[in-house]
Amino acid sequence: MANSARLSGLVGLAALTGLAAAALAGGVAKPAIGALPVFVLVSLSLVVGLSTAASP
Amino acid sequence: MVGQIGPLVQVGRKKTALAFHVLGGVVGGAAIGVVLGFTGLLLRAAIGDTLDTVFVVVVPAALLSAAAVDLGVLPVRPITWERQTPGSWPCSMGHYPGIFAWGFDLGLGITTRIPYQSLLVLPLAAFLAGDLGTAVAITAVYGASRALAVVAAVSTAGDDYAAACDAIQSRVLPLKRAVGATALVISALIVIF
Repeated sequence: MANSARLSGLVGLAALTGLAAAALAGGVAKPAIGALPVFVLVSLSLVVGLSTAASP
Repeated sequence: MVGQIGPLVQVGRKKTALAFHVLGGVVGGAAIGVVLGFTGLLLRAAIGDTLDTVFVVVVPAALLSAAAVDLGVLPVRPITWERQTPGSWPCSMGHYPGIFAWGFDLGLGITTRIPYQSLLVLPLAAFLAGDLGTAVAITAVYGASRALAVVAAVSTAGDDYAAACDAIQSRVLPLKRAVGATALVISALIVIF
């Protein structure tokens, strides 16, 4: 149970960090492609990265 | 990586070793983001706002194709290579530098085995965005989250890293489908908005 809580905490922390990065890049830098594509691509980075722990 | 780094973090201070791994992941991701972002800026300087049109056409198309492969809908041989992070690095570089280098190598994303085809779209999107901040955000978040996933797995494994690896391997296919489905949704979102 403690391990699951720790795992959830770490994943949550990663998600928050990723979303903060997306907000920074999309909001502050005002990219030409628009903030939403940046946000969704950073979200994809997050999903792919977190899913790749099994990779050597 | 869990099977490799897990036993190693028992040698030194566990939290320090894992922090070095995450730092390596972030730096590796950011480094490739700077390269892709800068080359993207050069491309934007050459073709101007046409790059935005190229982005809106190419990135969703690449995401669709990658999602189809990851979901198992498109039966083509996935693009990948066999290289893995060298297990000798902690010996040749030293304990913590070796663990940092593993994170850096994995954070680059494209220098080791490609587990999901959707992963290949990330550097493509970072390049075609034609914006340094966007490129770094995309790739650094990938590097950080990949390293954090290793930290999460090592932290929750206790001392039984072989069992943790088995548990992870049993989830590879569902994870691949989840990544493919996410890529599909994101492809649609980019086209719609």
